[in-house]
Amino acid sequence: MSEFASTTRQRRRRRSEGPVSALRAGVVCLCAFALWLVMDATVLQHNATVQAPLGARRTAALDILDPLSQLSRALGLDLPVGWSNVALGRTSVGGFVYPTVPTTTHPVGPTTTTTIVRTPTHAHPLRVLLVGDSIGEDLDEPLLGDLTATGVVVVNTFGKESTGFTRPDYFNWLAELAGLVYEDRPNVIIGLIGANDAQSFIVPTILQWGDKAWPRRYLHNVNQFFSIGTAHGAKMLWVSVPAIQDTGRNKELNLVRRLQLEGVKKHHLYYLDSNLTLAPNGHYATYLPVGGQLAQVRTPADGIHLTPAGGALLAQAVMIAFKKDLHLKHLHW
Amino acid sequence: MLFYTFDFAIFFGVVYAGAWLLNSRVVAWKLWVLAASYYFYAYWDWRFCFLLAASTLIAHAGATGIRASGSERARRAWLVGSTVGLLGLLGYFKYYSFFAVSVDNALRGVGAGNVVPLLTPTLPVAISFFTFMAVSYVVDVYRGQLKPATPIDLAVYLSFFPHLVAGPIVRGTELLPQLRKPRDAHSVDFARASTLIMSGLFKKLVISSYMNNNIVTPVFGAPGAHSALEVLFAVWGYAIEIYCDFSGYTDIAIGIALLLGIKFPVNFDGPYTARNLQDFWRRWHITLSRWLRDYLYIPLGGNRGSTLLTTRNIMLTMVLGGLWHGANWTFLAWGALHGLGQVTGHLRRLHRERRGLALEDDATFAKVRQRFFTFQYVSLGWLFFNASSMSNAYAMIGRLFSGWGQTSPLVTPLLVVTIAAVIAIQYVPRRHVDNAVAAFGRATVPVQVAALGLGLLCCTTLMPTGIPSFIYYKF
Repeated sequence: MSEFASTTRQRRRRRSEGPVSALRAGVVCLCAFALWLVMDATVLQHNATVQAPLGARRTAALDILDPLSQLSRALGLDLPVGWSNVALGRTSVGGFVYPTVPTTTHPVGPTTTTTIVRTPTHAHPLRVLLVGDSIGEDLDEPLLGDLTATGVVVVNTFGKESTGFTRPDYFNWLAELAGLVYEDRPNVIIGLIGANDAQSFIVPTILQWGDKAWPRRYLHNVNQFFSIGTAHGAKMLWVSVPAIQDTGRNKELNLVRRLQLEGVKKHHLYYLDSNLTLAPNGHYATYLPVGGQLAQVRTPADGIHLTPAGGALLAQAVMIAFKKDLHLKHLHW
Repeated sequence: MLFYTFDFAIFFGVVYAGAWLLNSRVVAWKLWVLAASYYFYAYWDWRFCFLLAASTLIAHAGATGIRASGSERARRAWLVGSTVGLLGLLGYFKYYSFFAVSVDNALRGVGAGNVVPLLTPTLPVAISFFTFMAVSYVVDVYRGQLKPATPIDLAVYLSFFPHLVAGPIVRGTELLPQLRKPRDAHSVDFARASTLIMSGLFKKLVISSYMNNNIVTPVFGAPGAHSALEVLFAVWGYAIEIYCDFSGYTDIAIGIALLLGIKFPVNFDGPYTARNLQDFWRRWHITLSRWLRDYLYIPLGGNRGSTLLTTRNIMLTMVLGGLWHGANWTFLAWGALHGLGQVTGHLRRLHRERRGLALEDDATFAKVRQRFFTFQYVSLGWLFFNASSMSNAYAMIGRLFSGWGQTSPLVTPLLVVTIAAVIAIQYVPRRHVDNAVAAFGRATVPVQVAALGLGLLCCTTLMPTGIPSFIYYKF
């Protein structure tokens, strides 16, 4: 009997040592995937809630993940991920709380703010903060170089792709800017955000893109952003969303541009219409002259983003506006 | 559809089940895999499928024409015609903009601009990869190394989704025979496949993304705002990022193909252990290296002519290899740098040969020195490869000399340890890796499930938010 058992064990071992059947491989993969799904369900549910756009796909994902997340919590299977996130310094483990505008989260420090932009020197450089979504990041790279080249400007940049003012549940620019302003105390803030904003709000309540109440809520968020930016005396230079290749979406973005301009006027910000540089004929342009040479300024793959040459071109326009509007005539770069 | 997304997981689950259910019916299996591959490709943009189909048709016409032709002249005409057709498509989509802008600027200099139409073709994903595979297929048929495949075999060979987007660049002689007969449903190399997929996911999601977010993008984006030490670590960090990104992709591709019962060639073999550039190219993107060797370097004459001719052939091969990545001066500089390095190595070997010395100094210290300098040289090449422009590359290099004595907050202990660990792991002997894979293969089903499930959890927990796309997707 024991000999028989031993032979069976050996046979079984031999079978599992080498290649296995497709069925077994499939079953193991499926079970491993299911195990991961249950253990990570809380985070996946959170991500689906805050990242997925409204629609059937989001609904289906949440329908699947909600019960899995409950199961994961009930069995304590979400604990390893929770511990890891705490160890990694992440705070959003499962669920989310709609972040309120933290204008009072950071205590107001000593009055180091300025009401006018002072003349920067090497000893007392101007502090400039660059903020943007992915198009803003395309601009920030050359702009940072141009500003740093003046020798009298210290630049801090913060960019986050796929963000804007309509989805604070995914990324809250208001909270982020408040933190950046508190930590960095910039004299000037330069921003370009908005290309992702032609979409529905999800929090605090769902408000569909196209609803007549949409512009009011959007303007509210924009105004809050500008209020936070200027609260400590920083000057803001706002760059409009550049024209994009998709004419339908570009038309939609006209509303975003118009509302942002309203906010700019209300807060007496400086404004640079990026399309005067990037769409000089009133239309989206892939090629434009840069430094006397024709260059590809937009990425043909998406018709949205700026190439390094496009970023440099827009940065040049921003630098001119920066120097002129802020009366920094002596700046050279 | 990226390999690390939910969409792909669902897609692959369906394809896997269908492929093994249809395994015994060869034609049905091919049709299933072909449909899945075109669906996979159409996920980016359905219009790209026409381009893939056009490349397949050109390659098929070329191969059958070569086969049917009686005279050498006609065979050669078919070869040239189909190769020009294939490379023409690649050239139009990949290089037209660069060409048009350059010509326009040159003509503007003599007062005659706007002569060349400034079209903006969207660069189709994977075009460089399937074009090279199609060219190699036609050339192999011309050379008599391969018989023309049936249209469906050729279509599956070129579009097979695991390799479609970023390689490996599989030869017809390697893949076509595997398509012609059913795979053994009781012989799936699951242990190797799953460990490759897990290691690929970890390399891509955790290490490559960590490097990209924490040092590479911030420093390459604004070298002037960072210290020399940060620039140095950004360059090393990019060497690690691109290795983990590309070899991670390849690992996943090979693993997925293995799960479907298809074997792909190895594409990476510890490239940062290389002792010279020739050695590096035997270990890095191996399938591209051998493509360039067999279809470009050797037809150009290889090393059979004079030293001058060999130098020309090496430089041409490496510069064209650089331009294969895109029409950009930075890729050209990268290729030229590798060409120069290889030429120097070639001349050095000739010199040692003439003096009757061993081709390589095998003393331990010499090996360490060779590996160290090869890695530094390769990293210098990566600096150009990743720079957004030549001025960005020069700014990085300039900063290496001028930015000392500043604080370097981006150079953290974790960053240093990660870079060191990725390099150190490449020195682990293959037999240890094979033993680990075999041990996993011997484990019971619950242990395998737990290991893979926790491995996935480890990847998704440690990965940062915002995973950049695979670097080689844009080529």
